[in-house]
Amino acid sequence: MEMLNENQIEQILRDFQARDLKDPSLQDEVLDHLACLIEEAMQEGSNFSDAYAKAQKEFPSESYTQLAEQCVEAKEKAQRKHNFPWFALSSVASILFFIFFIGDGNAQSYPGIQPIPQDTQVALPEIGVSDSDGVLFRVRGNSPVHATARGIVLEIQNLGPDIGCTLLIQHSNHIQTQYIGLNQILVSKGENVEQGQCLGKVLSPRNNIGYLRYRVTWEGQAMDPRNFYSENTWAD
Amino acid sequence: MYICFMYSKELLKGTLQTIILKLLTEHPKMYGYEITQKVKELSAGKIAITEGALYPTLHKMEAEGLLLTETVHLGKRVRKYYSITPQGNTRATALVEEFNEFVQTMRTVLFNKLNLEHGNAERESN
Repeated sequence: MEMLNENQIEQILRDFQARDLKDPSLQDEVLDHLACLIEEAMQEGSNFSDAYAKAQKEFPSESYTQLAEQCVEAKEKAQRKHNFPWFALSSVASILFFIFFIGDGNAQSYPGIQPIPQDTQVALPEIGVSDSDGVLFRVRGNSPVHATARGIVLEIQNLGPDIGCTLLIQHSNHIQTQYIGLNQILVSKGENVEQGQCLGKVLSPRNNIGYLRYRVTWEGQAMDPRNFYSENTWAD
Repeated sequence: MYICFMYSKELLKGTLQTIILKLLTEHPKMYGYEITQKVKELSAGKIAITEGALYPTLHKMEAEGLLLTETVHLGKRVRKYYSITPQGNTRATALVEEFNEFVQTMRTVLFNKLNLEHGNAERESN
């Protein structure tokens, strides 16, 4: 494909600079994208100015500023999630932390670990739309599921071959944790479990990627499970 | 402003990451415009990714460590190439599998087409 010449690029660049795009790396990308659109139109027989006009219509300059903002926003959001998982920790959760973790004097009864070790997770856990969705862990099939705190197995339910079993554990301080999507349960109803104890294995569908939904409630009210564990807690 | 053409943007919104990551597992490096063209070609023109959807998603995935970038100077132009990281590869596999599952579930829900090879066999074995 024929490339635009230096003069043509400079013309686009001048129009660009009048617009003051905040993010220089985005400016490079937008310029290259626009140039590609122009080259495509010229390939089809248009002259430069017609092609430029057409490209501007397709990718209007008014949208650059908005695009730059969206890019910065998307990046910041990703970095927050990536580097600082505790960002989501609200003051309410801090108070809860105090009550359960320190007030109880027993770290084991506080769901401070993840139900799935990080090394068997194949993707970042997915956060639900609301707290009652809990967190969805995507894991290799048959990965072990661990009790996130000391407690008593309150209920085991089999929801059939597609969903698997669900397990409900009662912890002290009115906390319950629920694990959905197991195929093999290694504990029984009424049994006392310790933090980190293996409860069973994740249902493994044919493609070998399993899903475990994990919910935490406090006095029957759904909480964001991430408020209880740090994403780097799993040490062993 | 978003990916659309033949399909509603709501329908396609969640698939953009999957599409981009999958493409990058198959190509060593691609730049923005190239991605839009490839998707247009593969979908026979039915899916057109717009800049407004593409670049924020690329930048987000780069910040998440799923993509790496490299810039190449072409005279006054600078072209930014994206390539996939091992972490991105893992994510691509998971997203593609998940989407595949989702499509099968939707077919079952909408058309009551039970997946004969798996669904029935699993049900009978239980």
